[in-house]
Amino acid sequence: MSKSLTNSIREEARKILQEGKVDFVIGYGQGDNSMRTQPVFIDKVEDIDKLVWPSFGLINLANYLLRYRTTRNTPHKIGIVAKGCDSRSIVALLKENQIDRDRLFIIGVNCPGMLSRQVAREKAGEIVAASSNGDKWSFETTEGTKEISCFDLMPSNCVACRHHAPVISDVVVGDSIKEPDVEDDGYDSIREFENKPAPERYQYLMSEMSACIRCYACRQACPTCNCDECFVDITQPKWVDKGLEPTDLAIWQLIRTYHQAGRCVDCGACEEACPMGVKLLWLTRKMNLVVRERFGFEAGVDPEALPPLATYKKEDPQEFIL
Amino acid sequence: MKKVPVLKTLYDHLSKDRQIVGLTKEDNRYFYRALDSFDQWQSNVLLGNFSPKEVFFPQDEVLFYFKAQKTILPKDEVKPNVLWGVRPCDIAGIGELERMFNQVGEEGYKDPYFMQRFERTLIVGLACSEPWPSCFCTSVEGSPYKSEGADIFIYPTEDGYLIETPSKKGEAAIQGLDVEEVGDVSQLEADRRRAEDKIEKYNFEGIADKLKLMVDSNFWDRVHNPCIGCGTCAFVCPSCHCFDVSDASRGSRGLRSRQWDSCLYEGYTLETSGHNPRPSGRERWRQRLMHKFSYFPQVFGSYQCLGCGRCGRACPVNINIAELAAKAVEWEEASAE
Ligand code: SF4
Ligand code: SF4
Ligand code: SF4
Ligand code: SF4
Repeated sequence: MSKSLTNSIREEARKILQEGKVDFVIGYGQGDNSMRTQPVFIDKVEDIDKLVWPSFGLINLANYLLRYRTTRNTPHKIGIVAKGCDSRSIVALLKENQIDRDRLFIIGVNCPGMLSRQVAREKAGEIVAASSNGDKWSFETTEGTKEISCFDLMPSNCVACRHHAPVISDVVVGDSIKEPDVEDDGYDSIREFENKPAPERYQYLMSEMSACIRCYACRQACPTCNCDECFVDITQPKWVDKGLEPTDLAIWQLIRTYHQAGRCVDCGACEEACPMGVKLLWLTRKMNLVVRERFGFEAGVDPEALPPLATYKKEDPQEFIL
Repeated sequence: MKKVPVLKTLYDHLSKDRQIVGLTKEDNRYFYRALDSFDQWQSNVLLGNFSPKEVFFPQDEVLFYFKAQKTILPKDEVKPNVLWGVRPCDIAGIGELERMFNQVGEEGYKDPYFMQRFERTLIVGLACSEPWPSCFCTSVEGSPYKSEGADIFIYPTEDGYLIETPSKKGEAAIQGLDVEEVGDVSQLEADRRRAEDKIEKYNFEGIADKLKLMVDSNFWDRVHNPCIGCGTCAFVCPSCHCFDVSDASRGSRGLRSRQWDSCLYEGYTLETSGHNPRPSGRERWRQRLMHKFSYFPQVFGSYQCLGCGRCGRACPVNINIAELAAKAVEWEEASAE
């Protein structure tokens, strides 16, 4: 938990609540322990101290805005804490006319990056308790105590992030962060993976997708997975069977990924929410790379640009159309 | 009580004519699966990602196949099973499943799929000398040393393992096992207290009746807020037993199967007309808490939450059901004043 970011967020939230600019503020709160984060909805100045800036906060708060989407006609004025990727999701939602800008007050955060529980589990094992001493985390696991540096606990999307600063906001907190060299677009790991032989890639992805239990936490955690009825829940017609057949699981994951084309902001919330630790970002990041290379588009970065699925240009590449 | 110096003796004895099912590791995930050897067993892990619920009531299960007008039942499973090293909360969870799927009386529902597995399974429990911080079994009538519901129950001690056989089935199963008879087991009481003291205690005093009064309470307005309705909590819970039924067919052939469902899903109560009696997280979380801490105690006389803490651990937004239940008690106490 960063003290200074926590304090600045509380200060801004206090102001907008006191001035009556918003009815409540959606932000991060403390969970059961230092590794857990629980979003909070603060509507009273007395509760302001429940707001924190977390260490393990791979939750995209823009997701909660869907409860107040335009079609639901809710009257609320909402304050929201938004790191770089959350702010991009807000832009994506605005472009799709899901939410009203004038009912939002965005407390943007220059985000230094989050740590991931999935990465921690992968590297440390089954974690029973955790504590941090600045640069390092110490995990008590079922196989003994393990120490891991903060840097090694970052998820792939934060390592690759090129948009630490919020792209849209009403006020910004935190020191600005120098974006890495533009030459390096953050997709090297995906290119490396692409270069592996097809059977190896197939085997890896299938083994990841077969671990899925179809709880749909990934979908529920995603702000742009917001269809009134998801294809996977529709029973008439039934697009995909309900069980745990690996092909059905793969269809579920692949179609969810396709539906995110030009909309996924690479916040990593889906992967972090997954109770089975399925590596979903291989799929979404690959798709983001395709969208970027073919259509020169990155979701939620430019509030003016039309998303590729909402527009047509004569020179759009189409060699993949069979 | 009986005592063995190493657990493998008991394992080998039981595995002679039975398939042993215990916690195994698959990548970073822990499940109850058939064990090939004693060493495969993850003895340090108290709770798997899933509970042993899936051994009796798998997530995805064929009820029958059909072909034109004919239905064909799935093949019977073969070997009797031993459920090995189950912790007391999970044993209690199996008991809750039994209340649902093996209901008492002639009119009581008996689920044949659950029953065929349940009846041929020997439950070998294991006391938890080192509970996890997320455990709260002692608040829901459980204990890390509770042997009730097991056929055989193991207590780790400094120089071996004490073995209790709470059921006839368990007693019969250890016939012929080479054991030492132990008369004085007073140390167990101290061990039990030591383990119980490590567990956080919540106040659920009178919760079933208090919740009854809270149907229209404002309490529900906020508590559900962080919940994203992912249903994970129900999947990992040892006692959640809701399922949905679906058909898969090609022409006149196909199968009918059932899959776990969750009351936290938006579609769970969605009616054909489009009306949803539980339109938001508010009503859905009220249902979850009411079911576990009020309806179940009213109907069956026991909580439907065993305090394993899996749901809060797996929940992407870390909703802690024990905390919520304790808050409900506090809320009702405050509004009664
Ligand atoms: S997976 Fe597709 S259909 Fe389902 S909610 Fe997401 S975008 Fe909508
Ligand atoms: S969160 Fe994980 S287990 Fe759940 S549906 Fe998504 S990929 Fe599958
Ligand atoms: S409700 Fe949660 S703590 Fe209670 S038995 Fe189910 S998973 Fe365990
Ligand atoms: S796991 Fe958590 S977020 Fe998911 S439905 Fe349960 S309480 Fe809600």
